[in-house]
Amino acid sequence: MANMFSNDARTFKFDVMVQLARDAYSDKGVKEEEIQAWARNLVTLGGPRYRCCVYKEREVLRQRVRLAMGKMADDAAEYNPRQIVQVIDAACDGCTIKKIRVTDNCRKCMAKSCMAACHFDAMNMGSEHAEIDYEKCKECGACARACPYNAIVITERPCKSHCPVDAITWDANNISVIDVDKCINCGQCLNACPFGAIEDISWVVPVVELLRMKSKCFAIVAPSIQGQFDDASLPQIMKSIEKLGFTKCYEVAVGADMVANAEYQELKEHREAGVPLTTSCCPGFVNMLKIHFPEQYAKNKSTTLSPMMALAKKLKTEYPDYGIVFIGPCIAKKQEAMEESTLVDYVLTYEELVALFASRDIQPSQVVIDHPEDYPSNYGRDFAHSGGVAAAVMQACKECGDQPFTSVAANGASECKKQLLLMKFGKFNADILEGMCCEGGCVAGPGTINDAATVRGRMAKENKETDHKTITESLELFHTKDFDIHIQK
Amino acid sequence: MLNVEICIGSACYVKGSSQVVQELNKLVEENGWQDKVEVKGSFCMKACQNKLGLGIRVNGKQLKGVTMQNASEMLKTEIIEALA
Repeated sequence: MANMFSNDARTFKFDVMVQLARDAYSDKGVKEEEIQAWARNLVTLGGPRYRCCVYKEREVLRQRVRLAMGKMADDAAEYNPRQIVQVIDAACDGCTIKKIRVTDNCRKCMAKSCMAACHFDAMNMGSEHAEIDYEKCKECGACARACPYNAIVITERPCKSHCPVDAITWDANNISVIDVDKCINCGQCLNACPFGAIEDISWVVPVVELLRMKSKCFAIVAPSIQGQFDDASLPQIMKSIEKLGFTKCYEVAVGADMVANAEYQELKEHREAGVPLTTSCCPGFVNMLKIHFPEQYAKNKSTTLSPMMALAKKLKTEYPDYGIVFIGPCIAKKQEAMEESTLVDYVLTYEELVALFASRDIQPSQVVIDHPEDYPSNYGRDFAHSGGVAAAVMQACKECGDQPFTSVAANGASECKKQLLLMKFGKFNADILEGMCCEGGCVAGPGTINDAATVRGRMAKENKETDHKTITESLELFHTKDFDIHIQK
Repeated sequence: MLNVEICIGSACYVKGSSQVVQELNKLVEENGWQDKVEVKGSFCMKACQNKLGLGIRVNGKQLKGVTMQNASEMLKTEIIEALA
């Protein structure tokens, strides 16, 4: 398990989570001083060392522990359940402030094409190599493209270059700062930072405490959970989750089938009015609409609940005194569920789930399945991939014998932004815009523990063996055909 | 059996409700209430929305104005009263 993560920072995060879960499952419970004392021993004078000294390493870990316990990374900051993605300021390297830099590949050549290429008179020839006057430089990159020696490099701070909504700036000490009024909690920066300096706040501790006290509780799992745990089948994964203490585990794909049908009904109205529809399942995309494209949010956004909320509403209607914990690949889902009181009580990621499994010595691939459960359609499960939502809505349309519609699948946050800009200026020509902030869809989410291509392959293999039911059959099987899942506007 | 439910919804957890569980468990042990009091966790009981302080119910009765500071004392009083 130790080599599950490609980044050492995620291994530290995992180790902290496992220990927290062990404490929370034990009789003594979680005590902050104890877990902090334990974490201090993860880094010693002998290493491992990624930063200047052991004291800084320990401070980084201390902040990681705070986030893992559901506290703000910054001790002084007021608790803000809206801001899931946070900067661990001690871990931020304050990297690459200057976007364009001249390296020692520069040979002070005679052509000086960099100087010729610069439109802003910012390029000078110094005594050692070409030099940039940063007062004049507009960071256009023309010099870098012109240099025949690749001596000029363009490097942007990874968190900033990956942020689709320009929410990252830095303070006087070059430490990254997230503008909470702009941030959509998509988690792209968190994935991008090579220092693990941006992380999500976690609620593993209260979830385990509730499970330990045998509170009645359902787990609902996102479709992308299939194939995350090596050879374990979906029923094995779901059974493993029940072993953690959940009363029962349900597939959110059941809710996805409901959403496909409801969005198709909405689409019919939108098509008649000539107003394109945008999908509701990706919370990062919905945040982008809400914060950065308010007109489109009001006019184009589907009023159907997300699959997570749709299934939660169904379950809460039938079992009002049960808690609901969503387990998915997504960080923005934490905000969707936790920003205010909703039908979903807590959200965990796969990264947190695998820590819970490790703390209880549960190996999903070893779990025995005694009897098979009902399951939804493959269309619902395919909500995990880019293009899957539009395809499912199309299938719902086909099952009703209606005319096919046109769709655009915006794959990744920057593509979402581009399509929304087109829509804003009336240049979007399809009937439906499917938006997914993670490139490839939820299988590539920031909370996943396996690479998207592998997971996609495993999902396809497992789902080939299903009974290939239609969306209509799924709705009938789960009695969800007439269940209302519209947000009251 | 007296049923004491402590809210471990996110808003109460952040205020420290899981520490209240630990304090309550200690209280139960000190007073030998193991066979009389059952400590349970609860999902959000909307005490936060209704501005009632930390969410605690003793045999279904919602306590009002509980904070981290007075939780232990209030619980002790309530439990003694309920057991009497």
